[in-house]
Formats: sequence, structure tokens, C-alpha cells
Amino acid sequence: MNYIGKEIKRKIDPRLIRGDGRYIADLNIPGTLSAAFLRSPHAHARIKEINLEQARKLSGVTAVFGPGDGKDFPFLPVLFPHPKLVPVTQRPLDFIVHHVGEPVAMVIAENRYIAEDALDLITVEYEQLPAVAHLDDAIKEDAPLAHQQLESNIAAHFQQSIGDAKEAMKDAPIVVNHRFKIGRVSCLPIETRGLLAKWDFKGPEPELEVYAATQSQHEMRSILSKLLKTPEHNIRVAAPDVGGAFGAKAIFYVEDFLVVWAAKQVKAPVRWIEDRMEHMMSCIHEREQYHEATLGVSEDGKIIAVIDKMLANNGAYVPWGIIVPIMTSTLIPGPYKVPNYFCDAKVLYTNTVPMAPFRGAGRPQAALILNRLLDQAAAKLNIDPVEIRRRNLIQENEFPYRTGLLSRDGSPQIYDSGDYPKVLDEAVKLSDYYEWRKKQKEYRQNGKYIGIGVATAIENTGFGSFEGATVRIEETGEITVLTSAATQGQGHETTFAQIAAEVFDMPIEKVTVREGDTKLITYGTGTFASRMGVIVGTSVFKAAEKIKEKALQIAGEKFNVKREELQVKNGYVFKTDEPAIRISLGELAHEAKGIFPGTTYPYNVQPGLEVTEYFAPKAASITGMTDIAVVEVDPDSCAIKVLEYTSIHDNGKLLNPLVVKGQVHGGISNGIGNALYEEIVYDNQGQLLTSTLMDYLVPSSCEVPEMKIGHVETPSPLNPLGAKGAGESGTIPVPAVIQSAVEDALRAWNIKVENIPVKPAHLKDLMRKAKEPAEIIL
Amino acid sequence: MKPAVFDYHSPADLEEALRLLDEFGYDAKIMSGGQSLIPMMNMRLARPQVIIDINNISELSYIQVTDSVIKIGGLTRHYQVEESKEIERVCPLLTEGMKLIGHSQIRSRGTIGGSIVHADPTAELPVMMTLLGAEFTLASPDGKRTVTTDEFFLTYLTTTIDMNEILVSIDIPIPSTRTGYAIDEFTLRKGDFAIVLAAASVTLSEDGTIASASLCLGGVDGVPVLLEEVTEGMIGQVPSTELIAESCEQIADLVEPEPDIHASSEYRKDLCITYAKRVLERAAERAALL
Repeated sequence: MNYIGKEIKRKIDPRLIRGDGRYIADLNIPGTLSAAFLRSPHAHARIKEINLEQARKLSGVTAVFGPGDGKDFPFLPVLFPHPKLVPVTQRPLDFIVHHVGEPVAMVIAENRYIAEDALDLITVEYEQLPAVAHLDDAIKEDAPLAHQQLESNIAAHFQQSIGDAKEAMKDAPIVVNHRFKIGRVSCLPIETRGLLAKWDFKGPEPELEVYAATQSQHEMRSILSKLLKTPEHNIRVAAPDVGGAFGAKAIFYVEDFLVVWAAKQVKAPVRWIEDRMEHMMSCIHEREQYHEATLGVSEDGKIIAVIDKMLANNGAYVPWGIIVPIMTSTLIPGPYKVPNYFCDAKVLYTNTVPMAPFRGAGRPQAALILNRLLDQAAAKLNIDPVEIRRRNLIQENEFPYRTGLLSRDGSPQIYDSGDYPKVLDEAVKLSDYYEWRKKQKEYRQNGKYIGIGVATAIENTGFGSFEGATVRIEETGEITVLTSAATQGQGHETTFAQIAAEVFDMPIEKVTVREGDTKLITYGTGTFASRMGVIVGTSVFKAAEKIKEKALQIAGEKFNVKREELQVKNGYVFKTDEPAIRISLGELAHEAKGIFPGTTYPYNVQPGLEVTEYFAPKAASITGMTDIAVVEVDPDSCAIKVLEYTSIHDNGKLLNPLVVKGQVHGGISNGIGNALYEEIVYDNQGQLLTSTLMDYLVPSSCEVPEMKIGHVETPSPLNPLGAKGAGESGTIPVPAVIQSAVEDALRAWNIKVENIPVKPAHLKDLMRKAKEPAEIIL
Repeated sequence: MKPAVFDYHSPADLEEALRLLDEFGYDAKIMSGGQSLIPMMNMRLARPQVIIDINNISELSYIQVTDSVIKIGGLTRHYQVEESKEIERVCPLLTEGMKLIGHSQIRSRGTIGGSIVHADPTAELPVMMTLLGAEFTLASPDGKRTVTTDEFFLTYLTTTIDMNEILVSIDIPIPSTRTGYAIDEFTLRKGDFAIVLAAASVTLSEDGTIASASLCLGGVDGVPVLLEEVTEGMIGQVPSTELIAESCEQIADLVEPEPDIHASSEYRKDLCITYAKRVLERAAERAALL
């Protein structure tokens, strides 16, 4: 392998670092108007009166739209329907608002300043309705209803099970419990949401161009087509440079519909750029779940049964079904052998921002449950936390491993490949785990409290249904790769180029990757679920292989030699034992077009050196990871400092280790935010208390620790590259490992750390309630 | 997140600035470093009709150190104080405290006068000024007046400054030679506004006993709080961990901090005690070395 698996720097970086990126806000289309939204200050209310007249009169305002204009607007579609789900989707500019921040009116004006001035002139009379925001309130019998038309706040109630956990638990000699209160977070890409819509009415049919900061241009096109009753072939959706997404931009939002609809009404291009406060109060959130979990183990620490009760906050609507709690419920067993498992999950509507998958998507929650239960069991049995994990991990020779659960698509959950014990061992080695255990004892004697946390987790990556790629040999001899992916900083332009460069054995500089545009390729689904490397990567590989074969066949016919006697390298097809007999790929591309119009095409293959391949994987490829963190907690202030962080990942065959390392790095930083700093807070009336980055604490470079990162490569048998996803895995074990480490640091106080994020104020409360530090016997 | 319409003036000297301020009165807002005002305007929490940008008034930017006093112009940037060798020599507390303000980007733009007039009770400058006994000179078209920190800070984000006044100068008395200082704060992230901020000074007599001591806390009330009750009992005693710890225990009864999403009232009290002990101990150690 000359290109695949090599640490190649990302092509995109110099341009972005120089500030030459082109985002939605940078597009310069003459006559573009700006949109701004008036947003509900109430969590649940009916709009009794709304007066738009003063706003409409303001100089520079083109149009103002309110609920009266939206009476015929459709509901957003239900994505990922589920038999147990009572779906409620959002309707743009409805007369009833269901969370703070929901759009109530829209202003279209010359610029954003004037548009915001106009917002100030709109008066609304609301009839406030009872609101519910917190999980513990929403589940109560007499709870206010998040949606008046529903009978309860339960959006879905479902179970998962393996064996008979309740029965098995009765016989377990050791039973431990742990509760989890996992807070809500924002995806928080640096570039907020935004789109620009432009209609063209001059052609035979109205045509729509949408430039959007999106993870899924094809999905967006498909939804717009349905909502606007405009055929897909008259809609183009393109994503220019996109500054991060993490799930936030996989969703279709009411603002997307409204901006496109408004552009049609005012017959001018309309752009909307979300500001940060809008982002906090209207762009999807994730993570919020409560769990009460029980683990039964044998005297030697083997898992007998796991029972989990889950409450998941869903927010006000279901933009992406109930994927997140389903994911959590199916991944609690994770890398461990769990013969008996039962999970009862209730998903609840509340008057808060909707929840949908954010980097990790339900898996960080899942990773917490069993890892933290094993911590409790290890303490009870006086076994080292690493050792109890080792005793329960699925072994290398047990793959493909059938868990006994169903996947999120309803098929049996099968882990394709992995080597979890090796991943754990590598992490123990790289982190100097046993050395730290020794130091921990010494430090404790000096009044310094350090804790060591360990967590092993998995991720199911590279879900279907499919993606595609077109590979074309240009007459310049260069290769063009067009894919159905969208990139928000993942480095696709480099990784996919490496795959094509590998097939043709030619310099990567000669390969150009283009994506994020529905005009490039007919079908696609989008960038989410750590699936691009696996699915688009395989599509690129297969298309490149096919086009290489075609080039060889044309060359064979031209030279009148057998295909087996030819090979491709550095832009030429040549005879292996007579390299002077050769033709460049560029010339072959020219030949494949036919020499002159009107002449007879001489080859026995179809004209053109271009192939499109779609790849639909049979199942998810499973990655594995073990993280080990060393933290210090100051018992006076409860300030938490991460001293060392080690992470070993098995992301299958690495296409570009540098890119994967960056993903793991970014994922862990994201996880540190989730574990220690970030939390979206609502009061019990659904008022958002964290609408700015002064209140919502994102870690900066000062808070993110140095990391030791390593890899184990177990190729996936499910695709020819052996690849597994890598975009999200960094985030997954971090909350578990940090919570574990903090609890370990404060072992002397014998407190149970149940919250995520782990906050000093909360720790201090727990310590205040606990007794004086006790002597530690380990 | 775009500001409402405003008129903009950029006077070249103090006289012109004061004239504009007199003309527009409450409709006007002085802009210096803009580190608090601009975000507030962008969120439309502040909607001044007139902005008087004083960044061109170079006469307001200076640091002068005499035998008895440090004089700092209102427009002096944080980093200029932070990096001043002369200030470090005569008042190391200021140097230490300046480094706790935000991040370097904020310190390169933010001004001393701006932060003091903004009067955030969790900010470092109001606490340091209170501890050090600084005096502020306010200029108006009618002349100048000088006020103490006690007179100046009224409550959260509120000072005695009149609508036609500009804070032009800060005078900080240079402390006696055997005085040790310390400042420390608890933040959740580096550079955040402090949850609790503590600054202390300890002056030792020839015989090693405490001649005087002060402790000032931020983040516990609407203004910086000088806790004389804590320090007066220490006078005449030899500083020790036990003495300081004992003196600080009463803080829990002396302050009643407001809770917020990041810290309960109880937790803030705990932090007050922890940080008060730390800065008093450090200040006493430093005094002993002088």
C-alpha cells in the first residue's frame, strides 16, 4: 500500500487556515436578502394576537411572515418511524409554540441589522400553557402535557432483552447499583446553521438552488421536494465549506423550509445565518437521560445479569425518531459478554429543544452504564477495575459475535470483528496504569487525591443504507472523484483521494475529490453515524477498480495484448515486460471518447472512462476503544484536573492515521466538554438558562489535556478496505472514564458520582453529606 | 445578534469627550475596550443611542509610579499594567491579578477604566482596587472629583459615576515595605469570571507579628467585600495556618452569596473560606520574606 494507511496531511487545511474558506455567510449572490426570526420566549404557549404591521412598515424590510401566513404549512416529515413511537413533528409558524426559541415570525430585509430592528417592532400576545422541561417532572402522573393533544408525555416505551435478566439477577451472589443523571448538551459547531435559497422562475419549470450548511444535501433535497411539491430534479442542494456539524446539520429544520419558502414569496435570494443564541435555543441537543441500573456478578466478577431503567428526554419534537435512546439501549452490553440483559426505556416529550443524534449519539450514555457498574462490582469484590473488565470482555476468537439483541434497523445485532482484550492491554501499557496505581497510594498519604478511571466501549459504525461515488479519468490524466458525502472538516478530500491514488498507483495530487452537491451524483444519504470512510470509501474503491479495469481493457485492445500483460502506474498503462509500450491515462480518456465525432468507436466497451458505484453495507462495522484517565481532585474546592489521558482505538484498517488521530483528539476534547463542563440547563418551566457561551461552558485548549493515543487495527470483513468508522468514537468512553476517575480520587469519602457533567459544586455537596475521609484498604 | 442603530463619535481629547457626554447625557455610552459593552449591544441588552469612543484619547493612557502612588490612566490596557516592570516592583499583587483577567486577547483590548466602571463584582480589578485602597478620579465638564472604592461601587454593575463623568485616573497607594500580597480565584475554566475571588494583604511588624491585614472577596455580593471581621483578630499575632484557618471559619456567617447554575450559596461559602485561607497564608509567607 503506497497511499492507503499513510499519514498524509489534509489537503484542505492550508486554505482553511489562511481564512480562504467559503461558507454560507461568504457567498456573494447579488440581491440576497437577510432573514431573521422572532422566537418564542415561552416554553409552551398559544399565540392569541400577533401584530406584524409596524415591522412591515420599517424601511428596508421586504416582508414579514407570521402564523397567519403559515396556516397551510406541512408538518416536517417523520424520519425513522418506530412502531412504539407516537411521533410529533414540528410545523413551521404554528399558532402553538412548544419550546423557548421556536420561530414565531420571520422578517426578510435588506440586511440582518434591519431585520433585527423589525423583530423589535413585532408585538405578540401569548396565552401561556402549562410547560414541562425536566425528566423527573415529565414522568409524573399529573405532569403538564408537553403537547396538549397527547394523553401523556411518553413518546415511546420499549424494552430490550437478552435471556431472562430478572430471574438471573435473583441468583447473583453480588449485586451492585448505580444511578445516572446525564445532562443535556449542544452540538455547537463553530459555524452555526445557515442557508441561502434562490429560485429561478425564468426556465420552463421553477428551479431551486439551496446552499446550505448541511451534512446531507441529498436528504435535504428530498425533504424540500416533498414539502414544496417540487420535483427533486428541479432542486439543487449544495454545501460549500461547512464549519463543523457533529449532528446539528443532519437535521431538517423549520428554518430550512421557511427560508426556501420565503425566497419564493419575495422572488429574491434569501439567506439566514443562525446566531449563537439562536443556536442554543433552537438547534438540536442531546444526551439527557436518567438511568437506574443493576449489575449481578459471580464471586469471580463474571457478569450474570444487567438491568437498566432508562428515562430519555426527547425535547418537543422527533426530528430523527428515537434513534438516540434505541442506540443507548442496544449498546449497554457493549464489549462485554452479558448473558442476561433487560432495559426498559421511556422516551418523554418535554417543552425543550428537540433531541437528535450528536457525535456519539446515545453511545456515551451506554458506555457509562456497564463500565460504572463494573467499577462498583470491582470495589465490592476488591478486584482491580482493569481485571474485572478483562474477565468479561468478548474474546478475539468469538467474532462474529451475536449479542442476542436487535440493531436499530431491526436486524440481529452482530459484532463483525475486534480484539477488545488487546485494546485494553495496550491502553494499560500506554497509560502506565499500574505505575499510577502505586503513585496513587503515595499521593494519598500526602493529602493529594488522584483517581484513575478506565472504560472500554464500542461503536457500531458505517450503517447503511448506502452511499456512492463516481470516478472519472480526465483527459489531463487526472482523476476526479465525485461522492455523495458532505464534509464538515473530516478530511474526505484527502482520504478518498488516497483510495483512488492507491488503485491507480499514482500521486495523490492528481486526484481531486468533490462532494456536498446534489448535482455531482444522483443519490446519497449523508454524513452521519461515522459512515463515510466505510461506505463512501468503499464506493470510491469499487468505482476506481472498475474504471481501472476498463482503462486496461481499452489499452489491451489498442495494443492488441492481453489485459493480464498490462499494469497501471504513475498515470500510465504499460506492458509489464515491455514498459515502452505504454499509453497515458489522459490519452486513454481521450480514446474512450472516440477520436472524432462521426467516426466509428473502435472498442468493445462502452465509451467514457467514468463509473458510478454505490455501496450498501450488510451490517455495521464495530469499533472498540479503551480510555484511561488520571485526574486530581482538590478536596477543598473540588476542582478537577485531568493529569493524563490515554486512548486506544480499534478503527479497523486506518485509511489515514493522521486524520483518524485528529478525529480521536477532537472526539476526546468533545467528550471532556461533556464530562466536565458543558450542560444546557432549563428551569422547570422550560426557560433556557444557558443561552450564551458565558453560561454554557465549552472547554478551551487550556482545559483539554495532553493525550496519548494509540491504535489497534482489526480489519472489518464487511468491506474490501477493512475500514471502520472513526468520526465519533473519541467521544464515547470519556464521560465514563472521567466519572470513574473522579469517584476513584474521592474514594476516601465513599461517595457515588452519578452526574454528567461532573461538576465541582456537585462533588462538594456530596462530600459535605459524606462522612470524614476513611482509611482506604485496597 | 446585531446591535440596534446608534450614532458614533470618536473625540480626539478629553474635553471633546466630556462635551459630547454632556450633550447626549443618558443616551450616550462611553466605549473604551468594548469587551463588555459590545456583546451587550449585540445581544441588544444595551441600546445606547450614541457611542462615544474614547480610544483615540491618548492622554488617558499612562502609568506613572512615584514614591507613594501608582497612577494609571483610565484608558490604559490590561496588558500594559500586566507587563509594567515598575508596577511589578512596587505592587506585585496587581501584576499577579492582571494575569487572571480573561485571556490575553481580552487583556490586549480591555481597559482598566472600562473594567472598573463596569463594576462586575466577580471581576479582578474592583476587588484589587478595594483591597489596595485605590481612589478614582472622575472628570466632568464641571471639574474633577475623587472618590474611594467604598463610595464608588454601589451594587452589581452600578457605580456612583454620573452620566456626564468619565473615569480618568486611578490612584493606588504604594504599600509599606513589609507587606505581602496574594490573589487567587476559583473559575471553572481558565479565564472565566470567577465564581469566588479572594485577595489579601498582610503587613508584619519587626517582631514578626501581624501589624495589619486585609481580605477582600469578590463573587459574594454586589460589590467587593472587605472582611475586617476576619482580619482584625489576627493583628498582633504571629501568622500561622491555624490562626488563619480559625479566622476564616467565620466567613460562612459573614457572607450570603447568591446561587446560580454553576454554584450554590453553600458551595460559594466553602470556596470563600478555602480561597481566603490560601491568599492570607500566601500573603503572610510573602511578607515574611520581605
